[in-house]
Amino acid sequence: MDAVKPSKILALILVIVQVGTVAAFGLSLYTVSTVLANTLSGGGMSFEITQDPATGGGVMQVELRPSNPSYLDADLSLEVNLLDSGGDSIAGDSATAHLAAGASETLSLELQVSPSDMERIAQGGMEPSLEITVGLRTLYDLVGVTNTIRMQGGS
Amino acid sequence: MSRKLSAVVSAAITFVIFALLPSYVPSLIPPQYSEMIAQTGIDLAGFTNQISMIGVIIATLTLVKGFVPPSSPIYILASIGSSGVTLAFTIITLSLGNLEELGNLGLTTLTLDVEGGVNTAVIDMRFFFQLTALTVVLSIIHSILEFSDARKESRVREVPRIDQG
Repeated sequence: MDAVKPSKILALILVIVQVGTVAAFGLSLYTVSTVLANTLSGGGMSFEITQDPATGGGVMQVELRPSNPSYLDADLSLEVNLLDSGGDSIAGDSATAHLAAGASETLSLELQVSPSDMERIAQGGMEPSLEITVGLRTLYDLVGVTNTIRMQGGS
Repeated sequence: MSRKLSAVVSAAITFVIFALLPSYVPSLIPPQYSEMIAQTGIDLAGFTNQISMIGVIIATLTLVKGFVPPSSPIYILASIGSSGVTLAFTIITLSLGNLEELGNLGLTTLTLDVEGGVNTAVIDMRFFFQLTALTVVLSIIHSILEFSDARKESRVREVPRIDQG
């Protein structure tokens, strides 16, 4: 029996790598797009701001309900920062969640705003902006997207 | 199927998918989406032109490979060139045609002005660039091995003729 040529073995390895690359690319793209679409649209994120009348301090509660309808696991991170007029953070919080394929989770953040900052905001001495960063990684942490939205005060 | 016919079919398919289709795609996108894509800094027309040019080059190299013997130096040059163009195609596709992002090799940043703010997306597809680079290296080694095998076979065929002469 003739020995198999190294070029033939390499040709087979090449086909396997190429098919694997296409499959991994398609699955990753599908996971990233469906998880982000499910997370960022359709009321997946909610905000609630309350002020403690006794101390004057404020609490901003942020809730995100991501779901993963795809075939690969995904790791999602959420970071929310309230920024002052100069772009410095006056309150912030972050959370992460592992989303197995087909699973959904709830991420809850709590941003504590000091009484003095609340007063400055109320009196118009500061125009805060909100920075929301949603990170998503999949395919064993090899592929990902980070989306940062910065909204100016009043918007 | 003969090598030549196979090369013609392969080149035709490559030409249709990578040269004709991309130049037709922008006309299929609704104007509001085209505007949104333009706001992110993606030059859609430029991007599709780059893909089309690469499609023409790959189709030409496929034809060349089919019409020269595998033992020819032109064959190995066309094979290596084809692998290099495939790598260029991957880099351009992963950076969405943005020439400023080419050097990031799969890490692309898109910025979109939204009402009352800014939306920045960082897309990390470096793993696929690395996989393609691996595929290109393997393809080049494969081409060299094929070329070497073909040279050996052509020498074996030539030897009896020399002996008889």
